[in-house]
Amino acid sequence: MTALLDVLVFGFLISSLYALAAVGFTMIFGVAGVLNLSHGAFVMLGAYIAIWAQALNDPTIHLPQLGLNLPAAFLLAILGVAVIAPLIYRVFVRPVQDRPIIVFLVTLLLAILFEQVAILIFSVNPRALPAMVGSSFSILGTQIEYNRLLASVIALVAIGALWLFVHRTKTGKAILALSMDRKGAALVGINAERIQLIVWAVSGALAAIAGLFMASFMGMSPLEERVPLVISFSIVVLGGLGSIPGSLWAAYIIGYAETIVAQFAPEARGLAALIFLFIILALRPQGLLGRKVAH
Amino acid sequence: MKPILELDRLRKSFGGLCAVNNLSFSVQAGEILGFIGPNGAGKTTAFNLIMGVYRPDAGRILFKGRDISGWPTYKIVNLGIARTFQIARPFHHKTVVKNVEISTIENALFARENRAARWEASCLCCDRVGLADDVDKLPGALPHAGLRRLEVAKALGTEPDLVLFDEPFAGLSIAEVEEMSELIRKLPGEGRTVVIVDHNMRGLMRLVDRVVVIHFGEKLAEGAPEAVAQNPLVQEAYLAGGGMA
Amino acid sequence: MYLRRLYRKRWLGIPGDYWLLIGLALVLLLIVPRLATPNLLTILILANIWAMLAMSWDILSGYTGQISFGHSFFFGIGGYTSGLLALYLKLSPWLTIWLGGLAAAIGGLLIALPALRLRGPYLALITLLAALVADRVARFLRIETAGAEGALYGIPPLSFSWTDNYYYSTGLMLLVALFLITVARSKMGEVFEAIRDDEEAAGAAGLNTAKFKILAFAISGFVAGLSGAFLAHYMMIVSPRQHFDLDLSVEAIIAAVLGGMGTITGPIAGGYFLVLIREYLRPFGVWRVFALTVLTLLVLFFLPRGFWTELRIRLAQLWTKSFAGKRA
Repeated sequence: MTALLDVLVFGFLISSLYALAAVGFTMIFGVAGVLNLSHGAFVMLGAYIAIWAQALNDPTIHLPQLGLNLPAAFLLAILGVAVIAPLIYRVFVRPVQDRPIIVFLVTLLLAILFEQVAILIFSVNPRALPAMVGSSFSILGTQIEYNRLLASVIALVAIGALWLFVHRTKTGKAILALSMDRKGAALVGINAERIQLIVWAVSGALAAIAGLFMASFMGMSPLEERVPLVISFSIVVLGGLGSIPGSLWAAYIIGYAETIVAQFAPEARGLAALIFLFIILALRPQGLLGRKVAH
Repeated sequence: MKPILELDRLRKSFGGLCAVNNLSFSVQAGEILGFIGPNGAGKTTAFNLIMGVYRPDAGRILFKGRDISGWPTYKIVNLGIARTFQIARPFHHKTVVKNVEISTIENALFARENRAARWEASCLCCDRVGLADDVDKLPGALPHAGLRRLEVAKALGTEPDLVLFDEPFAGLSIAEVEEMSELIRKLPGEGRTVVIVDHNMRGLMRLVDRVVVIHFGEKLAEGAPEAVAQNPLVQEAYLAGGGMA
Repeated sequence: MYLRRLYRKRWLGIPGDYWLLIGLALVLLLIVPRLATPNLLTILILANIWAMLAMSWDILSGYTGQISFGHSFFFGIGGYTSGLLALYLKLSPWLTIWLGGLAAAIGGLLIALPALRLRGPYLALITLLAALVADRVARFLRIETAGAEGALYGIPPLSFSWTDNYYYSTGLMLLVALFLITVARSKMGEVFEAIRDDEEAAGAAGLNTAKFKILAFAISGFVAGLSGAFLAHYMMIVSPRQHFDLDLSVEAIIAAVLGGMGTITGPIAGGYFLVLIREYLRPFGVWRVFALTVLTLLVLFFLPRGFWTELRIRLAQLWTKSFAGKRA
């Protein structure tokens, strides 16, 4: 019973964070067909900006330090990635956007570059962010930290806000239109360039939020940016590339699958999800929930 | 005369949209057939069905008496159907003659091959479409009309019995249309059959022997060009679809 | 355009690529061993292995445009197969490295089957997943492993001498290059390039693109497996960290891009360059990876054909200007 509740609670949290990371990845693909392999680096970057901003007199961080309080550091991290991501798009991705192979390589190299920069500044050792709120409470024998509860709530709020943004605002609808039909969107006067910058910013911000909480629960190391990338990639393929609701469903499927495996067969952790995904990809390339691409 | 290609109650839909519905017509060996219809009538879908790009939901496609529906494209090509693309699709990193040579390559890995003969045949193809002076150019250096000719040369390189042209005149000047028509007109004399897709019948009138008109994926009319042009159904379809020109 | 002419150019009836190979063979087999320090020789052994890996990536991704993000999959299969066979069946390493290549070629076929239906991002993901799955599976191996999970120790070497290993690796690398250049120049290579440019148009030209893509996977897998097997016997170790790491796949891509994709000789240059930088800049630690990454990015943006290809074009132009011009 306790184990079950553990899985339910922890799975929900993990899945929500995965969803945050994956939604941005899928949006970027949706509006421009760009597969952003530096997305994992955005997640990592969010965590490290906050780690740097809240540090004070830490000799292991080779940067002048601010010693901000935690909420301010979080905010700075989210804003920081939200600025860096569109910059990356504008400087590196846009010039090669119509050559998918080059986009692959460029974003992959950028990801490695971010890794190296992070190693140079923070060393390769993992670091953790302190919890936003301390202490925990228990339900039916399951300890639930307030911090985790807060993370789940924030993740849900962020996803909800994204939902409203996409469905209720003009910009959001333009994003949807662009991911359905790029040519058609151009015809009705949608400024694709502006929308793409916005999408990269939003996607960066969501990735940063995911990174913040991952760093505060599991710790983060520069090379670990590959984990959220592979997970986002998997989720997005499972949900159908470019589909926002598909990614949300898929995030919970993968998140729970991983939690269940971790709980009951820890040594198979990671493997089960990968093989599962491999089979899906081989049998149903459009994703579990995606629709066939119309011609 | 025995038909070389027969479409038999062909149907294909995408999602809920029926692109080709119960389409039947046949192409006689050695003729030039115009296959026309307003934009979105399902012409290109029908082409893609014949070429094996899509698999039909129902119906059969008979070529030389064999049911080729559901075959992979390369088998269909090797049986004798070639196509040109509506938007020219050259191999951008290969010279013009190399582009055509690709069409002459056999799939068998260890087939005895005569590179010189292949090269010569490809040059000949280029010559026939009027690209003799451009064989060493990259496709990017060709003008629009040149790319269209290259499409034809690539199709001829496969030694087809039936050539499907997808809007071969799109974007050509009047003089260039005339040259292209001349090129197409020569094909039946070499024992090749021709099907030309276009939404515009005017340019085809003097070129084709027979016309099949489709509308909303279904056959609307069939017959001699003049008769079809007079057909009230056809005129109505085109009026609704924005005129024949 | 210039590139094509360059690659078709023949001297004394022999295509330029083969001359390059002959020149490389002379330098590596006759000159380098006389001048090089033992330290340099050991580095060049690695350079040969990485050159093979980069070439194997090139024949698949550079030529057919099917971008693989998981070339370590083949590398590792080759290494593990060869290592296991030599260690437990006591087969000669000279036999097992080829069997390792063969196993990786079969791995290539296995990847190719689902990959045929996948394009672009999906293909990249399935290759990446294959490598990740192989890595995890290897970590489950618990046969006489002394310490780290999934590692095999005490694999019999081809030879204990550095010099021997240098000659073997060089010979193997040259053989692989000869093989791949021949493949690339054959009709198979022509078809690979056509698939990269426009797969549907290649099908419309009557080509069985599926078959050629499978072939590209198998050939690429074979060569990558061979290089992985060589590394296994040279280091006398196979481990997931050494043979399945994501970095290997990335390095294969970087080497091929640096030298010039779709040329075979470019990836050799790229592989050498990468290993030399990596080993000689070791004292600079993280900075060397940083520098290498920045360099690759710069090459991608400013010399998209790769430095080696660019160099060849420049030299050929210079040659035409200074000699051929006068003759004409």
